[in-house]
Amino acid sequence: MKDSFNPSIEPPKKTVTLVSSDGYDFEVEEEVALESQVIKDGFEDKAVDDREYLLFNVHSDTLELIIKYCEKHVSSRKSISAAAASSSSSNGEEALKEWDEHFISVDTNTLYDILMAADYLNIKSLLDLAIQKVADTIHGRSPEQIRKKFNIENDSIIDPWASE
Amino acid sequence: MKEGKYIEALPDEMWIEILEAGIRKLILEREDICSFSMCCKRFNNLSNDNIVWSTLVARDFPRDILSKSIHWSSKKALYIFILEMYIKLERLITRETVLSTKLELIQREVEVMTEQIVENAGDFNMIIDRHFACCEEVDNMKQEHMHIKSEVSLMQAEFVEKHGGF
Repeated sequence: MKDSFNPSIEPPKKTVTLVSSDGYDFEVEEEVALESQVIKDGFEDKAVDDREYLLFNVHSDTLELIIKYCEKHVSSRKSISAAAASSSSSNGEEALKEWDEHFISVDTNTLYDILMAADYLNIKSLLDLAIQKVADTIHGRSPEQIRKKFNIENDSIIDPWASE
Repeated sequence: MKEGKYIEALPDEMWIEILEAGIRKLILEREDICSFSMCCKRFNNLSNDNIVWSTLVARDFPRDILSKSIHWSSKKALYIFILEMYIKLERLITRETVLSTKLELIQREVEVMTEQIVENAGDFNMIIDRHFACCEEVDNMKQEHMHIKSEVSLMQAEFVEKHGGF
């Protein structure tokens, strides 16, 4: 415990390299990468010097967002449990929820990318967040409004909601 | 350059998960599922999925024994069936309430008239005619009321038995 007062004694942070589908390298801290259940599952078996993951299905634009999300969640979890340990009041969970809401307020194409990547990497909390966002988008909208929102072509023959 | 993709391209399982999670988290109502189903042919097919409707049945009619029924191959049809029964019972109860208020009013009027008859014993004929007409209306209404009342209690008993109350 005393070590934590002296940062110089801390071992250097272990990192993992994530490679996007378009060939960009992202070096992230181990615990951030481990937010992905897929990476976590085979992690221990992988040699320490071979911690590189080729993410064929994730574009660099999306990967950047995913990493941002995971980093935020790892650091929030730490500060929340630290606050709980010192029994000081904290609105960490509330703040994280707000952050999540802001994070997921993206256009539907980005939302699609996040959904596919969260599913592929198996990041449960992010997948839940994105799924909820799509459900929110459907709620209270007419078929025509949903079509517009999701860019869907109307291929049904009869549409009682058609405006004309 | 990244190719533009639309959210519609999500795989079927993902769409069904979205609908199912939306229902469980109380975001989506049956009206939303209906709107979704009218967007396009693919969404229409997706919206008929049994997972979607059994989640709706379990959420909206948790105490109904039919919700655990395995004899309905279409969970959407099951949902509609249960919903229609609830609407029918609700309508019947409303009719019973309206009728019983009406009955009370007319009974009070008869009472007033009976008093008038006693008071104005000399000038009978007109009051007697009205009195008889009213009595007849009371009888008819009583009959109708009894009829509906027994229908309601029958249906309620059936609900308690089959659907665990309402």
